[in-house]
Amino acid sequence: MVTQTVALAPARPPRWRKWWAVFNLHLQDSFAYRAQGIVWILTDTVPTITLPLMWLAAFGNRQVLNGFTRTELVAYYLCMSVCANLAQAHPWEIAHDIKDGKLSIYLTRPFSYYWFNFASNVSWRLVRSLMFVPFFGLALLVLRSHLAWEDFHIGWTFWVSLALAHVLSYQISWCLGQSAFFLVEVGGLFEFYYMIGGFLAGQMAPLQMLPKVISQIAHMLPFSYVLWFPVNIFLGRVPQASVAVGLAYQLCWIAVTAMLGQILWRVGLKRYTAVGL
Amino acid sequence: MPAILAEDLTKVYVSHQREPGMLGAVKSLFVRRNKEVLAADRINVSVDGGELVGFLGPNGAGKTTTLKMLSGILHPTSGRAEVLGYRPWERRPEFQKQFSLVMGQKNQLWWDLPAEESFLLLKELYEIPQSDYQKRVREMTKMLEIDHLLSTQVRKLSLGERMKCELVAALLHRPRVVFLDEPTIGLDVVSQKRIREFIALTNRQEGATFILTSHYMDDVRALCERVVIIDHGRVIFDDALSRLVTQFTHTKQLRLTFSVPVEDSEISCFGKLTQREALSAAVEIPRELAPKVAAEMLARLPVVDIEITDPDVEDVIRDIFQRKETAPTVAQEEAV
Repeated sequence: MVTQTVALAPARPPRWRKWWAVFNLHLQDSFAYRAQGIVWILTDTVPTITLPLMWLAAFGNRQVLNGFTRTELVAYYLCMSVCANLAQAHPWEIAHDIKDGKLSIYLTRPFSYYWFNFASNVSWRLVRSLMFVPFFGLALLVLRSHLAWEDFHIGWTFWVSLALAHVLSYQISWCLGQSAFFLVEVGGLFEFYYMIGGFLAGQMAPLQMLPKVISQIAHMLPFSYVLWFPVNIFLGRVPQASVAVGLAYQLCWIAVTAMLGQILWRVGLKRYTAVGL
Repeated sequence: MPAILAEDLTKVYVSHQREPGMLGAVKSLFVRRNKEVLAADRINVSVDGGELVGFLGPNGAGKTTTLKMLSGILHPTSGRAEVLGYRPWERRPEFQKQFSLVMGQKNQLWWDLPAEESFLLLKELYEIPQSDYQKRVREMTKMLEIDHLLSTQVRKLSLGERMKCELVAALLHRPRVVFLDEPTIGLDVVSQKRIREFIALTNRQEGATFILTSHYMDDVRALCERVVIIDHGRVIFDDALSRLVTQFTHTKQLRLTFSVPVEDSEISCFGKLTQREALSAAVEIPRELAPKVAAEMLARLPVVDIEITDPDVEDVIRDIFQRKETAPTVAQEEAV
């Protein structure tokens, strides 16, 4: 009897394998940068401890300041630092790849640079958060006399808002990073973004404490949806009805920045491939 | 169908010009003067599958620009190109999986990780089956003698070792077309030789098409039967390396050894004296006159040895480039 062998075309490996490989490589690369990462985290930990201490001094004899109790204020900054670790993306890598011409190499590969960078960001967030744990412990230790578990919310709305914040922050970075297509020097722009963006995201002070006009402006801009919004859900300061509105805002800003990112990519790449930076 | 085809491929860069000094800086805020640089000027090249072609030219001649257009990194200003039947700048994954670009001056591997990690990523991106991947890494790293370095961080490797890893990374997915932009730049002679052998073998065994740019004539001599010389964005020569000398030089060298000392004037009446020692001399004479002059010299001078040679390829190429810098010359008119 003749056995027939059927020549089968090799099955294409599943997509997740590519993703895992990209993610895995970035994870390892992030660990290679652990020493530098610790320095960055230290610079982030300092305000996490000093800003609440400053506010606590301002309390004096009062029990409530601008609607915040001591416990709430401390919780605000602690939660802010956790969210910043998990959600806040940075535009530097994209800008460097464009400036150094490393983008050219990615352009010849059969994998999208956008998603490649997205995976890089996710893995760096994870590694960073892991490295942040001891520093968070330190912050808890320093602020221990003002810690108490109040009516905080860590239900699904918090996590969804945090996940959307992560995507939104990445989109903002993606747009900002692409400014390197058009500007010779991007450092100044990024510094400006960190200052204004951080301020409007409530990283310096809760938006409730700012003059009304400024906080209203902040609520319209995307930055507050990266940090302030999830942090306030956690504090239980966003009414149920407003949560849906906030999530909708996040989605809207993701859509807007995605569109902007697409336009920048198309125009920027045309420039890049025209000039051959 | 040729593997690589370029028709009138042209690239014009626009750069902004600015006068020097503070005044110039302020002026440039309002008025921008643009300068157009013709980096590639109607390049026509056709390369068949399995060929190994050398792109030569001085810095800024347009070699890298051409390679970048053929790999889809640059969009041409005008003209047409096809690589394996694809238009490169559409950057289709089907095309990208079949070609590779190595830039000697750019690092494609992850700097802080062992080279093997980069290989593993590429394996997934290019969908290389596990068995094929293992075999390929084993073979290539053995041939390049870097099999013991795979778990060393890339940044701790020497330039030569790193370049070898880059080559392995670029060839893992068995590309049908490979562009090598100065793969041996800055390497020691031993590494250069090893890399040359590796490229030659890959070209022979796998039938991949290679375009190589290099500043080292040794690379070109060892690898390329055919060379394309690009200068000021134009192809000024496209033929077998052996024909380069005959096309660009119209002279031959006569090297003479004498039995007794001879006066300069007795030799210089035959041609241009280029070298002189007590009992020897070299004379440059028009190619077509060489046999006649040599015969005459043998008859009239106390010659014990005579040698008729072509100028060295390296000298010829240097000559072409130097001439081109001053004014368009015969060479260009010939090529047009």
